[in-house]
Amino acid sequence: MSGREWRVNWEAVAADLAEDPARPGGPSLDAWVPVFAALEELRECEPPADACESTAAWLAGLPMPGAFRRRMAELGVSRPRGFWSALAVIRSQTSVFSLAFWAVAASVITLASVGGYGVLTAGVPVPAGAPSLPLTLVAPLVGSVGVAYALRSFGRGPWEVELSCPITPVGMALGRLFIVFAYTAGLASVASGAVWLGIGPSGSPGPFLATVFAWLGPLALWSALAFYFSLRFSPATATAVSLGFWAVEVALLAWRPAASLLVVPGRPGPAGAPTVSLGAAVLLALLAVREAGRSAERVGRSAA
Amino acid sequence: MTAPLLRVSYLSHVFPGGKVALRDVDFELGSGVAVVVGPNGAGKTTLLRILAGVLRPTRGEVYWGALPVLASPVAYRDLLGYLPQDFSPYPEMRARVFLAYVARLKGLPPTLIAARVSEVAGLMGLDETTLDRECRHLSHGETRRLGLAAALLNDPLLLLLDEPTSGLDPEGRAELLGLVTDLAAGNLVILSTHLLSDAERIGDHILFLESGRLVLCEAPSAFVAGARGHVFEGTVTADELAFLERAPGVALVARVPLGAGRFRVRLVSTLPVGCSTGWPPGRPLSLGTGLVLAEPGMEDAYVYRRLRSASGGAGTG
Repeated sequence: MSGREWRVNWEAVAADLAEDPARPGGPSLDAWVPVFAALEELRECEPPADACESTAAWLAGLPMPGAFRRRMAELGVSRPRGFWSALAVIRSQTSVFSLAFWAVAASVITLASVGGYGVLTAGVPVPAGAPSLPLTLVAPLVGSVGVAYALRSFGRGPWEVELSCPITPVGMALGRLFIVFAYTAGLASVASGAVWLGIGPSGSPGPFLATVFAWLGPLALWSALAFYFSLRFSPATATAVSLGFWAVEVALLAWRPAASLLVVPGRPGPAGAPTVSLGAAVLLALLAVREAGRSAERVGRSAA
Repeated sequence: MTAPLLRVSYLSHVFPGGKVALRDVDFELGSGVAVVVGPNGAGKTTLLRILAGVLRPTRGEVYWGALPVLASPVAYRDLLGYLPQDFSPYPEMRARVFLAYVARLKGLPPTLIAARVSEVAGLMGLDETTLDRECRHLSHGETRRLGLAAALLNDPLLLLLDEPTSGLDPEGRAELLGLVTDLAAGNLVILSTHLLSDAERIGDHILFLESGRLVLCEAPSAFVAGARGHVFEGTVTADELAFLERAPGVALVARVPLGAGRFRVRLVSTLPVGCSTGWPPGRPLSLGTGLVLAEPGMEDAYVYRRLRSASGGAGTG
């Protein structure tokens, strides 16, 4: 192609490249700004024929997208942005949860709510807040073990394949955390509502929000703890730590003075205070996000 | 002029703890198949991991066209497919679900996912029954095929395959190599392998890594030609064989006992033709000792490069 022919065709070539974003380098044209700039410069200064030919050859040598990529370009498929992008990430991450996870989590929460209901209907004199106690114990356990399970691929198995996809590890990790937290909180909310309605608003469970906050704080804290330990160390470590903390909490609850600290409204203990728990959870989650962002520095560390 | 699609610029990687995996690796590749070869621990997997964007190098830069990969990792990953060496899917997930999951991660539109999964599965010889099995029940070969299918889901412009033929039967290997050749038309495929016959068969470029350094990056024919004049074969006695095994700068590629204390050998020597090794005393290595020059093959060339590297005679390519 001569320099003159190239100049004549320049507008058409530029239009063609712009209309077919998959051709030069995939959906994003940002990377090809320098190419367009260089070509524009060549046009302005009437470049010599050999420069035009080499540029044309360079463009011709760029990879041709396959049929599927061309089809996506024809359909005008573009990557979702903003809220839709977050939704797409969450949608994709639901696949990593097996049916067993959904079923076991639902069963455990249901059993806990039945236990809470049973405490109230058995006619046993119990302190206020006691009906929330099973959920306060069980929801954080489900949340923390669920988070560790959700992050089981981090650092092994399909992790490298996931990292090589156009999605950030932080996005993946937060998507999975959100799914576990939302599912557990949703189940626990329904269970709390069922207990509260079963007893009746005039019964002893107290205000509905109080029954929710009784488990929400610990759930957030335990989930964030598992989130951090999974990403900082390993999901197995996170599971062990979660179970350890849970055992300590059960032991404290079995000891009546400590139990009163945890469950009596107005005297919230560390795990029972929603504000403290939520604050600590946010802090741990932020630390965990930092760890997730460093995932690409840790791949293959075992080879060292 | 062939456009350099991928440019790797002075790439180095040091693992925490101080192990140097790559040292100033620098090369450019156009379309075609590039085969990374080298001994265990040479840095092949580390190089592919960095190229796949899953490992951040300590130093250096990678460019895809004009795109600086480290600065735009998500845009870059949109273009590539990657099969890791130790690929394993979620064991409890069905193969079809795993492929659909990866397709979502790669940003394929939901309306196209089912058809695309069937398409790439068919391409990799995974039938409907296999797709409906849980990944834990797949054989090693089927798992590799599944990993390859996952890598192909987004119709990648750059395909990175770490030991793709490991675990495949000869028929599957031949099919895969044919597929790689097809995929490389206009695109770039980089694969690592220990099977030099594969490299010879499909490689347009050979990248030879040794102790984290890129010893050379050239066409297979040039790679083989470099060993010309250094490969010998013939019949030797047991004493001569014992000497050859100890001789510096000499590596035996093959030895076949013929009986009566004689052996058929093929060897590579970094010594020039006619240079005396002291065996037999006063006689040159090559001619007149039962050994004659032989035409080098890929394996001979590989051994020759390793010998040269060991003796410090390799240049960077």
